Amino acid sequence: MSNYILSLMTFIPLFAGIIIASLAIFSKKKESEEEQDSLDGLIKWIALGVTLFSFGFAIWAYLKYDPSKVFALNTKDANMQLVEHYYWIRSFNITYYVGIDGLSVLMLLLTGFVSVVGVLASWNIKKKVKGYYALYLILIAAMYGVFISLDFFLFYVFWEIMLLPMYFLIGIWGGPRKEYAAIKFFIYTLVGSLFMLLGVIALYYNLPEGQHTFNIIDMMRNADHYASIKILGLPFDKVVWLALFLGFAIKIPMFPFHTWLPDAHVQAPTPISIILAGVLLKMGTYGILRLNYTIFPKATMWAATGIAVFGVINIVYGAMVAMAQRDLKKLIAYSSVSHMGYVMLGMAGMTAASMNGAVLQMFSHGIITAMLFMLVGVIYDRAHHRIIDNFGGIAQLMPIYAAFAGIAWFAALGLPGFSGFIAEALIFLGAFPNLQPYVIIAALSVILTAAYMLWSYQRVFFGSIKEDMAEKYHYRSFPDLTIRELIVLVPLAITAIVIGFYPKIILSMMDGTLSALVNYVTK
Amino acid sequence: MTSYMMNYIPELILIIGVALMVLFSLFIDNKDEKKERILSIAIAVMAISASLFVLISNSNKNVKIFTDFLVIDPLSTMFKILFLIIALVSVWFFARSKETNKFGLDFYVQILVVLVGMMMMASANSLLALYLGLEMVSIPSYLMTGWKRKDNGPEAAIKYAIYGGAASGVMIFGMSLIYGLVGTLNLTTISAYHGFNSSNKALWIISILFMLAGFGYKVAAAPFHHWSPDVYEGATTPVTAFFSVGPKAAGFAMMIRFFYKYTITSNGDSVTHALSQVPWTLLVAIIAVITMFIGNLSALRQTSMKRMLAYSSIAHAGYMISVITVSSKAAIVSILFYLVIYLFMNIGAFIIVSIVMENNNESDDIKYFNGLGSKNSLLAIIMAFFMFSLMGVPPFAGFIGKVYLFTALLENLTPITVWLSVFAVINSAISVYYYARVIKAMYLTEPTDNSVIDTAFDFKSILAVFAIIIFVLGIYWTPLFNILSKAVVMQ
Repeated sequence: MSNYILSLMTFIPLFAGIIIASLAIFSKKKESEEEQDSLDGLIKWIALGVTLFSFGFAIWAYLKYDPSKVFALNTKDANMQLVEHYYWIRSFNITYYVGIDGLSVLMLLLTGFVSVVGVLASWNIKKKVKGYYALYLILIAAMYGVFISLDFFLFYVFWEIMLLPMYFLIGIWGGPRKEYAAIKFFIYTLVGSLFMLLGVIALYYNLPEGQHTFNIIDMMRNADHYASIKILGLPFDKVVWLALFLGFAIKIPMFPFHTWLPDAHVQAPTPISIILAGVLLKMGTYGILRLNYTIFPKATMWAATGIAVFGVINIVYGAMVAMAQRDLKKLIAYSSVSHMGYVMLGMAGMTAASMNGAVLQMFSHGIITAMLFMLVGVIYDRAHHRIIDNFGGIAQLMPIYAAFAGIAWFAALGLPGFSGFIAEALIFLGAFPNLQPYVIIAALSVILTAAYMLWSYQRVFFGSIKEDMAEKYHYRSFPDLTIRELIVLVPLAITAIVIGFYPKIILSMMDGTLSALVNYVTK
Repeated sequence: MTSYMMNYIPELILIIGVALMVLFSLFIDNKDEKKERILSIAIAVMAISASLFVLISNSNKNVKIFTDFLVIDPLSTMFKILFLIIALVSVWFFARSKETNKFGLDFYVQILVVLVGMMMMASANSLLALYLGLEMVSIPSYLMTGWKRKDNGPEAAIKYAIYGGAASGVMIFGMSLIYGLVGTLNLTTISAYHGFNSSNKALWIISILFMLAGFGYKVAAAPFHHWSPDVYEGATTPVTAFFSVGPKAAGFAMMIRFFYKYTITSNGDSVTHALSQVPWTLLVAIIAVITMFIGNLSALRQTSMKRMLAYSSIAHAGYMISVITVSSKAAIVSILFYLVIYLFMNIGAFIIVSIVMENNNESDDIKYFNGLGSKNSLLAIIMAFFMFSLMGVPPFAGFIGKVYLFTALLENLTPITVWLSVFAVINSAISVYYYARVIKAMYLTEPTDNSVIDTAFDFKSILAVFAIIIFVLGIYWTPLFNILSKAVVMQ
């Protein structure tokens, strides 16, 4: 079984999702309410079981992964581990090729963790329960699939499959403007990925006759060939680099392609926001590291400063816009834009330290934003609004909630002792030699982050209770955190703190892979 | 002569079917409509199946018949098999849909004649055969459009006839120019023409342009597409479904015959061809781009499902036309592949539209799809499959079809093909919006009324089969690809 860890992790949720979907399609409407309820209750537990199962497999993969075997092109499978390799479509040379390295194993761990958190966060969903969990599980499966694929076609298929459940999850279970948000998300991402598709096909055909392949490792072996040919008189590698980058940049989301994100986040139900910010955004930066960096090392060096510039724009712009938000969820959505900017800056730094920082930031941001969105969901469930100025003095009413919010807010602004601090420190230290001016701007804008986070915390939790609002929204009757909410929040908080004090559990996994990647790109 | 006839058996069977129908109509009591209908459907189904059987069992023939007038090669045979499958599905649809199930013998005669015409278009080795085939398809099509319709059917039929007449007139003028230049109507001889010089180049360009008017009209390419939305809306839904795939596929067969005759030898290699000095790829590329944009941009605003699907089929024709510019074996395979997938997703979508129309006073407004997800979850999910497949999103077959079109375009990076692929991608993105509107109506919008939408078992099972085909081909398509690539052998 240990040979099929990656496939089982991906396909068990997929099949579970398809089975639940067929239940939803063929179940008769005339069943009594009670019967319906008991089945729905069962499906929740099944979904929890399946996500826990996959999470367990992700942990197993983490334990089995041997960080001493680092990325090396001259070995079989370039030292990817837990590899499975079969033919899929022989005439087109498409293979089912999966495997992990130090980068993807962490992303699998993050996906597993956040997907379990997501199921727990969706426990209260009452509407069309079967359809919800069916789509949720298919979404999870596609996310695992993206992180394990080593065949570009396979990668693309998983990448695109993710769109469909996401569209419905936002569009059916979302807020008042859900339809607009869902279609905007769908079209934005699809435009990007269609250009990526052209890039993939161009990569496939521009190998010598008989060597056409979608195999990412083989494409890496042909990096010099790609760098030497031209397309319409322009350098092939730079054009295709941009085509792929566009697809990934929309997902990150990079300024100016970020506008789908606030809409999607604000309209999406809490668990979907958690998945979106926790895992989905990381796919953009993961894709750049996995594909752009490895297949086009030269073009990547050419574009590194550009990535840094856009990273800094993301950081500053995201923070500025976050400061101006009145809606708490929108504020956190823009803080994600800002935090993903740090990842881009770290990636562009081209040193082992900055790269480690970037990937650690991906992981840590996944954990911390999941927590932030969960906390916003908690207050929204009770107050049915998220306007910052209408709160005030919540700490007096819900002390435990305020404490957890404190942890999350401070973790997000990069306070030492939390994972975000280590990540940002590594990014700044690592990127400083190559990107001095950008690092200085980015480091200064940490103040902006602190400002919008602290200011919003103060307005929501401190001060006196606003009597008129308390009357209107019944603040005084709010219960503090429930057991279910605690079960979600405690592991997230612990993870953020543990990584903050002992980042080695993460860094030791990826350091070898990322150092090798940096050497490969900068050689 | 008899051996010629042996190779023409598939068409002959259909012609005998026509003759039998006409003969029986003399002996059947006109008032016994039911008996007449059953008889005609039976003859049609038997003729089509027999013809299909003969074709499949002789799919490797590679001969010219009737003094080089027609070619019977694996490619034409593959197109004919495709036409006959479309026809079988359509006959079932005609017989079962409430809109058309009263149509009698004379209607089914038209279908068989159209089929013979389409098969002639696929086999043509002479400009005259092309023209004959085109007209044999067009004239019964005008009749089928207006068949026993009270409201806007006759208007659509007249529009169709006027457009068709004009386009084929222009086309035959183009043919006469080519005849004047080369001195023959035979495509093989034309392809060996080597008399280009600067004085007749302009004439060549004009004649190709005129030919394109005819091709463009048949596949509904801009700027010759204006008939199509009106015809699709005005005709009964089963007829529309048939038009959206059958004659369109025949149009592509004809275009491939005309343009590729010169470019591909029997073992699939490209050769420099007679038309290489005429910038026809640029002309076709321009038509492809205009077609994509007009189709997609016009579809955005439609509220009538049939009109929306009409514009969508214009856009899909645009994607396929863009591949015509490539002149490679891969291009022909990708067009065939796309047509096969398009057949299932488009006819499937029209079947669902007709079911919804039957339940809502024959109106095809998109608002009647509101809440279909909760009214009939099976129909809704199948429609969602078709819509996602038309968008070209994995894991549905439409995606694989698009991948093959793009691979054909990007196999050789010439400026024309690179730009065509970029435009095709932009258009795919635009198209998402209007397909997603259907999905939005079905799932994201609450039902506007409490009506129940349900349908007979055979509708459900055929739709389910189509949906499964679309899904399975999206995951594993090797068998289909192998069959189609073996078929790309031309005389």
